[in-house]
Amino acid sequence: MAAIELRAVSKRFGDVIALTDTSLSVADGEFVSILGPSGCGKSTLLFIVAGLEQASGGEVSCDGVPVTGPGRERNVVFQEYALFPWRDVVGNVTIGLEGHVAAGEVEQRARHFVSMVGLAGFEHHYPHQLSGGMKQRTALARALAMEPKVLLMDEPFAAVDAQTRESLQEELLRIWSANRMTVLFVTHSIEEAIYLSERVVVMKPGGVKKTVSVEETYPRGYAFRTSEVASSLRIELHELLR
Amino acid sequence: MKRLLLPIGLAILWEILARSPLGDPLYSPSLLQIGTALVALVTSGELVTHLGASAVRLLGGFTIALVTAVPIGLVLGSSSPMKRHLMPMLDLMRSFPSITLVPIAIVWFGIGDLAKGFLVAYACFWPMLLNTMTGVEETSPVLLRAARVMEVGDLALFRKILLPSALPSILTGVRISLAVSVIVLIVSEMVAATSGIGFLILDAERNYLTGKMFAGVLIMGVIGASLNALAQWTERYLLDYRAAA
Repeated sequence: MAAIELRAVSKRFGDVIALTDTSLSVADGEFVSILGPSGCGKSTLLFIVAGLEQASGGEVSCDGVPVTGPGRERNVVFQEYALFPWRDVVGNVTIGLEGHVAAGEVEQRARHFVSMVGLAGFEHHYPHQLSGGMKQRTALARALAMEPKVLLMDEPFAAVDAQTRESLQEELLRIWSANRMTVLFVTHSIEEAIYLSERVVVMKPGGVKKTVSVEETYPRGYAFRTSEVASSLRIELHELLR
Repeated sequence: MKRLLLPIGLAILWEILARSPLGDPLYSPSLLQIGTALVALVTSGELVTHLGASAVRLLGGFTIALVTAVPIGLVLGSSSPMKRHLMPMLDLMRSFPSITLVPIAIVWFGIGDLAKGFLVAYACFWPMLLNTMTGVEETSPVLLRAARVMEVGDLALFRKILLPSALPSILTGVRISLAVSVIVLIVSEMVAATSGIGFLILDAERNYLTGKMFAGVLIMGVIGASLNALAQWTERYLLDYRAAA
């Protein structure tokens, strides 16, 4: 059974058509990127899977269960971090656990995931004291701490500098390889999609244009970024996005 | 120390003019006169009586406004249908300057603490209500989306997200309320009362006790400044995360 299944999904915002007849199937534990220009509906697609937006038509299900609203098993990492300014790093992670995990475990589990994303020593920093990369690490720790089956990421690394972006990508792959949750990753960066994912879903305005597989095993080292395989994929994807 | 130079200079200037042929003890009492009146107020116990009466009305009215305005503001701010229905009526009610309600308060509640407490509560209610609503409405939509994904419960949403998010705005409302409350209290105590600092000032004026009158005004100044300092301290304390560097 597919971890994520979209069948003939459409979405209208008033007169604007964001998605038409879009189908997509993501296997359990798969890492899939959604690549496309801005305004092609890729974030809308992600939010529909998250249950934050409702599809105007078609069917969406996760593990065979129809999606009717947001749920903790489908966690989202937002481009804008979505951190609570009045809570420190640990507090921003515990807020996702409070009331859902035994009270005695909350703090310990939060700290575990904070160090997993490389923020040990920054537990009591507030968001405004963190760099963009550290903010997104905090948001990632919060999502991971809820141990979702599906991790939905909406251009999470779009707002950080190139070097931070690469190290965040490596970190994400390391965590994904260890946990093997399903990841749906929205991006407009061709390089990012190639480096991270097993499959790249290329979108055109309103729907899926083509799906391209990345035949490269994990772990993927830095060498893969500049490899022959990666550059021919880059050309192929570039052509598709034209 | 430099900050004190100007007030001290003005006090000296006042004293020189008060003691010069231009001055008249009935209109411009010397600092000595005012000081003597102040000491008399303290030693006679008169000050404690009036200050106590004013404090009870101020704190009572303010507290009632705080514990009603903030929860109502949280609910209205997060529910646009409810807000749409109630806002026209609320806009009308907050348009009455509180002082125009003094006669109504007297008719309803007499000239005692209840009437003053009502007026103070009424005046404090609106700034805190509106600022709470604004604070809630300005909560970042991304944070609300994140809360939905985390399945934060309704009560937890108010307590853990809407309240802290609106807190800076609520505290602005508190500061405005405190300033307004002092004005409303003093006026209501001057119109009809037998105790309170407002009564003390007006009573002194009616008896040509100019020194005492000025002493009362000075006391009010100190109270106003103290309330403002208290509000600022509270803000710094509750919003300490902002200062973390």
